[in-house]
Amino acid sequence: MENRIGVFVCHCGINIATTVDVKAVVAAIKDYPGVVHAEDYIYMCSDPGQGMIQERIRKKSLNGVVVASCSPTLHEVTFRNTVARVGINPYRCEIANIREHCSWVHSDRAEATVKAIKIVKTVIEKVKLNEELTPIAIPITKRALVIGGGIAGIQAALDTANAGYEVILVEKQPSIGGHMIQLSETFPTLDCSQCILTPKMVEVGHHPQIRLYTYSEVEEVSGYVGNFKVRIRKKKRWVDFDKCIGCGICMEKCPVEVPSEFEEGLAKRKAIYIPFPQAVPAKPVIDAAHCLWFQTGKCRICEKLCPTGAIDYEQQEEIIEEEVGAIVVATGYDLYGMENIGEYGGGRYQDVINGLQFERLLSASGPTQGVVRRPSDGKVPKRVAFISCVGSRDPELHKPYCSKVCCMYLTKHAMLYKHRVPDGEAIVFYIDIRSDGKGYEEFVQRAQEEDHVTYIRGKVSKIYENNGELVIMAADTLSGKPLEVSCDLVVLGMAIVPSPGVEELIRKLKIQVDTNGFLTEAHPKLRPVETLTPGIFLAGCGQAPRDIPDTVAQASGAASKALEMFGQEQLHHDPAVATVNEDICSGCGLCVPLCPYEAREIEVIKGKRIAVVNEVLCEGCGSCVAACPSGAAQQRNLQDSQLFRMSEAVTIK
Amino acid sequence: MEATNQSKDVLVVGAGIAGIEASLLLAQAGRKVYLVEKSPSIGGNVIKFEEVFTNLECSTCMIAPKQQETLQAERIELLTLSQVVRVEGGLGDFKVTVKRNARWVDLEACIGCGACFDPCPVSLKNEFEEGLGERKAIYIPCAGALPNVPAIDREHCLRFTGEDKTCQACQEACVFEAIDFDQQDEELEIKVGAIVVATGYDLFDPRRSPQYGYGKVGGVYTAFEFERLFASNGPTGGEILLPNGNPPKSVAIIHCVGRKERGYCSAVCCMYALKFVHYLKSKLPTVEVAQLYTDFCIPGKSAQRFSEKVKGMGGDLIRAEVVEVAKENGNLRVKYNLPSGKAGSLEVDMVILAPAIEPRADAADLAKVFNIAQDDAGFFAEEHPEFSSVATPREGIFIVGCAQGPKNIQGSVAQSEAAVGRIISLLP
Repeated sequence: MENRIGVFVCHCGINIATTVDVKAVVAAIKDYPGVVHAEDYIYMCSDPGQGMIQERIRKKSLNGVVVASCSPTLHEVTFRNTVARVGINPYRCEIANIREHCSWVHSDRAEATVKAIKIVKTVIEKVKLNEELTPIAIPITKRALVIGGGIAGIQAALDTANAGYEVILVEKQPSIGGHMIQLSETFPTLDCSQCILTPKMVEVGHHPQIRLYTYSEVEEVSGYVGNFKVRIRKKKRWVDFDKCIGCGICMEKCPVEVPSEFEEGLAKRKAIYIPFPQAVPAKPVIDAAHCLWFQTGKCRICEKLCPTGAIDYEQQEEIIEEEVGAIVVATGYDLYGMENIGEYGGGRYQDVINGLQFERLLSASGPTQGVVRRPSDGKVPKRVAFISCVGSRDPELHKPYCSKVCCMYLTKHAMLYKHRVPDGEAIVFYIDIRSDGKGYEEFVQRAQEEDHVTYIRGKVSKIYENNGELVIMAADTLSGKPLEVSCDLVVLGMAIVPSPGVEELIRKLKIQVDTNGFLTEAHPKLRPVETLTPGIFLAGCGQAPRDIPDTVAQASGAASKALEMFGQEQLHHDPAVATVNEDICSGCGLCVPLCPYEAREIEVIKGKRIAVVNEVLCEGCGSCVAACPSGAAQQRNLQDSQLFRMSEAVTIK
Repeated sequence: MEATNQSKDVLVVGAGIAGIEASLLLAQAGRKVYLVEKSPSIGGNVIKFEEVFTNLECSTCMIAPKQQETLQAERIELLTLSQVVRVEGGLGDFKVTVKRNARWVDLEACIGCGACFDPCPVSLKNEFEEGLGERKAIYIPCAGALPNVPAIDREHCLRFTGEDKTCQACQEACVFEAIDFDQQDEELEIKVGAIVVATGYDLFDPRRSPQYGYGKVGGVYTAFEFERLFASNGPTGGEILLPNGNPPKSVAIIHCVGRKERGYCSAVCCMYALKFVHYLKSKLPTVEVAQLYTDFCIPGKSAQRFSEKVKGMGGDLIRAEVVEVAKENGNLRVKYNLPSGKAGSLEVDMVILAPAIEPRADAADLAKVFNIAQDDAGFFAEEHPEFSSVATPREGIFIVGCAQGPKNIQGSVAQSEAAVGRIISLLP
């Protein structure tokens, strides 16, 4: 095939044209071998720009196109679609990146222009040898896995299940509900958190399309978009859920008491326990680390009392295999440990507590039945300090980001405290009030005006104990004066951090996290619920600190992405993957452990060992191609022959 | 459960980033979408911006492919210059009446060459450029607007105002015979199963707070105006110029304009103010910039890092309570009170105001048409602020983007995705 290539150079407004002389690029390329047309335009990706490319393809019978513009991650798809619509195989269109690789990183216009010309020439050489390819078709398993049973996971599971698809919901705790079920009331409406969440939990528990695995973890994930295979480890709970009727006799009689995780250590639970009365499923598990039988070999009282014989000390872990087409990761958050901020005395002073602990103190179902009593002596505190930005916004020592919800929940805390203790005094220490949601600013104003909460703008430097009182040392940054305030209880608005254990999970899923451990979305603006791994979606605080409305919206968004996929008959995979020349391959197998996608494996074909490629798993990274000692592995449209021609184009005059 | 006569098609109202995202996702999921847009082109406010925070990505590059996909998607029927005038029925069975105004330019025949603009005898201020540039009575709002087909402005075209009923300058200039004065306004009946309202926002008019001098003294700009001054496809080609034609030497950015009057925080201004500092410092390295703010509201996982980066470029951050702008010695004097009660002031030659985001002027009318409620601030009210922020109490009608409340692009897109999820789930 004789090459008839068109080159289209984009100005990208001022982004490219300021640093690169686009006219000079066109002039230098116009007569390059194989090029029959070259032209520049202000926005090549715009409708008229694309129309221009199509018009030139028709008029000049082009059979290859090079667009010199921004990174191919932005517009490769755009331009490949453009040429495909006028009958050119999309893989005969390539992007020469003269923005990120050139104009944005250089300032000398002359040198940048020379470099842009070189970049364009290499890509022309590549296109000359590009094959016409067709996307690989992939079938879809129309079933979703949701990891995490907090509000995000619950919403994503319900939306997907209500659309008629099966959902596997995996939660590592004994019950779904996440942190939201611990909350007393939610801002800014002061709705009872349990009242709005429990109906959804029950719906999940009873939904015919949802298979719920609590006290379970994702052990292994293999496969790819549309065709994931998941191994789920059901932890030993030593209670047979089929027999257990949830009567609770076992819990009454268990002699062991340990601090309750659900109550944030402010109350006790038994070694056989349901985390909270509304738990779904409402069946207990045995905490072997504290159970007398497992620790000392004595007791078994729960077994004796169980009317249905549901206690099973011989129970084994169970591994369940499921096939799914899409995965929603909703792993949630934890609070940054108070012990990290030594100067505030959290963990050392009983009456310095975190936000979730205070939620439990406010909750009608909590350890104090909603009466605000401080942990040390059970007294109702008369002056409570609420400190925001503890561990957040501190790039030197702790977390550099803002945790987003603390301003609002501390305001709520102060307000609810004042409702419970009208003659008490609530003081909020803050740096900036971040009330950027609907009804939020009004909420803060209400706290100040109606509930007389005092707001002090200042960073707290130290908290110390003095005669049974906590003394807060701070600087009032508005008046510029130092101040000391003594109080009975201190609530710390701790930074939000990703859930522990999430690092291990992300390795299994092969998705990315940022420097702070939050899951990375595919694009910060336009693809907020997707990961860069096709078929894996994000929801909730695992991705970034956020409040309940945003979490719910994001969860429905993640569900919509899965539903969009399930609405299609099949998916398509990029065909620019590795290939193997079976005549040359010696079967040495070097490529097999190198492949990060498990796409290479040894097969014996006609008595000969061959390292074959699973085209659907292959992401075209090129690791195997580079490692192959014989040159048997080649990447489609990035063959050795192409690479040589590309380097010759810029090195040989 | 298979109901008869249930429509799974969806009406999306408003073709900004929220409406576009919802339409594309619905179309990809196999739904027929009617996308109704009041103005002649799609893209909403995002296309006014040169770059977006926090990654300073080129806004046009980000949204242009989405606009294009919208125009090309087989399942999306785009109705520009159109408004919903009546909605009857309920979930699965809405009957919607849409009034489509005549464009008087044939969408198929026109290639967008722009030959009709020059001969048009009417020049007026271009609203898209916030009045900083001019347009004709036949116009496209800006270079790159989509669809790339002009419309005739009936308020100003001499033919339609009656000043010169014989004028046909544009028709004579068009070699494609795309100008069609016989086109009529029409009413269309559409049946859909669900409705997504994505009608966006307006900015608080700073004239309502006269202390900022907006509209009285020169050199005071709103955020939108400044975006257009920096835009490479804007009236100055991206040069930041004062009315006297010179670049500013010192700039004050005033936050929270209208926050007190409106009673809420608009969520995006602190971030775009930081972006403005970046705009200014990158284009005019010696310019002095001061920000006058009340609370620095930049939550989110990448905002703080962006803030540190911009702070590294210089500029003052002043926490100020009352701000007043007045003309003094040919320059602008910005007077403010520090929280300690001390007064301060600075002299600048440019002031940029960050006005509150508020409901669109026609939000009350739309609420009546869709029979949905407005909240205290005038934004459309959701079914439940925490649990169901995209649904309305009227089953089948959803609200997304800034029509529901102030939010950034990510928040708008996430809400659109959420509404689509709910719709597919309700009408599988």
